[in-house]
Amino acid sequence: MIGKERDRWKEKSVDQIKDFISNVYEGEVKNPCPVDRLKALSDTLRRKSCGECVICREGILQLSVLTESITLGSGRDGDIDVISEISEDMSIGSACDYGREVGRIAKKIIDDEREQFERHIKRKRCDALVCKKFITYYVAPETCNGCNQCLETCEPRSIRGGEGLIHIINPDSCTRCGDCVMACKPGAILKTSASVPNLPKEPVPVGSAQLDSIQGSLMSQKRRRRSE
Amino acid sequence: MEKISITIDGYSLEVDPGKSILNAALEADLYIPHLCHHPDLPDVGECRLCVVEIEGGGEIRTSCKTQVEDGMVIHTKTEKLNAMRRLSMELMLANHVDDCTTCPKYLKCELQSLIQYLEVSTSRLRRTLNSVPVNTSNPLFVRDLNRCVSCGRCVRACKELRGVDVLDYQMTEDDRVMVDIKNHHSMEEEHCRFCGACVEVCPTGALQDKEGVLKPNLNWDLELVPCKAECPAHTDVPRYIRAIKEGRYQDAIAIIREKAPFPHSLGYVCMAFCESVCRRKEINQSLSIRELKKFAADKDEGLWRERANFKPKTGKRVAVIGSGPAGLTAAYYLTKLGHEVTVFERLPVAGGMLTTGIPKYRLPREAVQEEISEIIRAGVTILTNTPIESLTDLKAKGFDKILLAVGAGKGNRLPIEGADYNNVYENIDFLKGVSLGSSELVGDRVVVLGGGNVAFDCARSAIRLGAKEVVIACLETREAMTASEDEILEGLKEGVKLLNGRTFLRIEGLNDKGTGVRCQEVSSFTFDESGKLQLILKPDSEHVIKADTIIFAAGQKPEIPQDWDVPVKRGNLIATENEIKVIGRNDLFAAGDAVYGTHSVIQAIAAGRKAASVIGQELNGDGDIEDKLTNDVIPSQYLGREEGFLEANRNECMDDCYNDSSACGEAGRCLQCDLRTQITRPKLWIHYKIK
Repeated sequence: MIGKERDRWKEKSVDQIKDFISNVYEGEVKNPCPVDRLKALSDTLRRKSCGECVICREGILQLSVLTESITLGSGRDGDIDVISEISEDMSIGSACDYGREVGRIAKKIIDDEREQFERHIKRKRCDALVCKKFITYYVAPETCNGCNQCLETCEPRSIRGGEGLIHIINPDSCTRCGDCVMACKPGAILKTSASVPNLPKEPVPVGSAQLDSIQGSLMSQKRRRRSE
Repeated sequence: MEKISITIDGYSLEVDPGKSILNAALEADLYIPHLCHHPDLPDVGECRLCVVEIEGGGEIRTSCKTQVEDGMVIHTKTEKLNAMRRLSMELMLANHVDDCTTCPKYLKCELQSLIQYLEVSTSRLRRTLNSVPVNTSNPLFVRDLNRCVSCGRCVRACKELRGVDVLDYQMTEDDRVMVDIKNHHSMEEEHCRFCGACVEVCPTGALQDKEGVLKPNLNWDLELVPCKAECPAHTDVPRYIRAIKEGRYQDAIAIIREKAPFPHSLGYVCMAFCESVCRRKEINQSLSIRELKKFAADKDEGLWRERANFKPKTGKRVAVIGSGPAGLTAAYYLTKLGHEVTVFERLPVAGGMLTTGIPKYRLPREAVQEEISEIIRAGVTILTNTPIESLTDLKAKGFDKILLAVGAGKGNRLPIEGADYNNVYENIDFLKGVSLGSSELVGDRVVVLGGGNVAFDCARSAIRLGAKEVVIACLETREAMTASEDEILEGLKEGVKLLNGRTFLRIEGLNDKGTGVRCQEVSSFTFDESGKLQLILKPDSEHVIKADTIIFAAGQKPEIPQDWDVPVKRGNLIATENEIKVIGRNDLFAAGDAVYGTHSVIQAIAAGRKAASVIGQELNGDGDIEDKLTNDVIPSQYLGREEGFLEANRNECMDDCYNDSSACGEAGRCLQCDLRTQITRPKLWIHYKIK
């Protein structure tokens, strides 16, 4: 087995390093969730570290593992401080500009978006609706046309319903793959990181769901929280 | 060069320019934490533990990679620096097995010591350990990468120090970087030289010697060099092997002679304990050390004599009884200590077992004579044909100390019927007779009873005396015989017949002459709790081996005249304190086989050295017998890559001895374990004055 080539940033110029990193950054800049953005960035960038200096090799890896854990709902108190400390130490203590540049980017993300990180860790919310662990897919009863397309694309078979019926997604088995969203022509499948509105408990014929009566009789307001 | 002034944590230092801040601090006994720095390796600044702040610079720098400049004011332990160090350490530990107590390096580990110093735990970080199986696929090292912190010391040791370049940072399938063998090959595929430098510099338990390859020894230099440790005289094997490889033959013989005055004899008959522990045997076969010694001894031009250290005469007199290797070695070193030594030998020739025990086809007498002459030249008086009847009389002749080196010169005769027929010999007497040229010792059919090397010496000597049929009969099975495999094979080749699993009932005979040995076959034997032999006999297996000459080769014991009044213990061995002082006597010492029973020539030499040293001290000297017979040549730490190095097989030296080129080739197989002892052992924080 021949190993993959390592990048040797020590032999490269500051500009080459910055160009490389900003390219990676550009690829993620549109990612609306800062936690997921840092996770994606650190996962890509750790794979490119030459691996010789501790703070860069282990620091970016730790950022990657930490942010992934936060996006999966396992964030802990103190994680933000650790991310902040690692980023800062990388930015001042890395052996070369690769680590320093990665540190600066990470530091900027954590400083600018501290609140979003906190919401992920403490409230288990992803306001940008990116972190799958924190979002729930549901079928808006008033928009569903009962075409059954979503049910047919759903691989884990998490959707109940039939032709002409308002479909229902089972949040427990739903993998949040998003395939049903693509399949749904009327755009009835929505996601939320907070509470799910009142929905029918069983598939009912399209048109029979009246928001008022549903609200009153079928479900009470309930905030859904997923922390598992 | 003019010194420059720097200040580290308030201490003003005058240091040489060009030094790193870290080295300047450490040399001033001022500790700065560090891990990837090693005194013998180039610095790379990877562990980030040695970070410092320089006033006015603003930037945080690694002290190992920053040179001192005049007027620098350096801080090494600010809150920020301590925090950075702790984080770097935590990051390393997150990717490290978190159970120290199961690690073989426990309490000997630089990383563990740093954990203690920095007081870190990893609880606030996520574990990043990528568990991999512990790799034991090479013959000598255990590689547990779960304990590796990628400090890169092994990489630099292998590449920069040794020039072998087996190790490097490698990408894993998951794009993580870890230290591994280049191209994820085996060590053999990358032509590792198994020098052990990587293991030596590893600050953690990631690289270890396989258990059992090195025997624990309080002396680290001996622990790392098993051949030297195992040699009773601690002959510096790798050093003379290297001299042979480099064509410095006079250095080689001088190095051997620093520890033993019988190098040529040893080249023929040494039991070579060194070879049995040679690390090279784990790769293919051990180095042919004894043959190389013989080669070096053959080249001896005596240049070492000029350097042999003779201390001023003391006027003290020592009598040595027995002129075997133990007695003569002691006599030689005692003479060099300035004492007047007389050796008393009861036989007509000096040399003990070297001249009257070991047959001359194994050990040419010229080689022994040459070495005895050298000892006489050093000033030792040897009186042959001079048995000592009374120690008191000897003492009265003005000897301050007496050393008993009488060997184990009395063969054991089994207590069976017929054991005293005229043509029944004891091993020692028989071999002595052969050596001294007695004629008509053997008839046509010779039976040797016993299964050790001495039995083969007797049997093979008998063949050389013209015996037509020579049988070795012994209790043990072929596999359990104590004779060395070489001896057995040579004996068989020369026509010796082996009869294993025999017990001897009696010697049959007529008049005064034995005619055969009545035996019975044994299916197995054990020793009971009291050490008594228990036989299980094959029924109806009694038979007679016809013989004209019968030789007992069932061990030897010392022969101590009753009149000497020397305390003896089991096996007629002289009772001693620390294997040297005769119990209850302050003027009487003992050394060699007479103390510990039959052993090897090299053991006797080591015992003789010890005796000389102890007696030297008893005679109010320092007892320092160490010689420095050649200049120190500091070996190159550089080995370089050498394809075919691991594949090279032992050259068995078929044509009697090596020539220059084959000796060089064989010496080139040495792993040079001693190079590892040259690597500096890093000090831990606890050893620094200012921590």
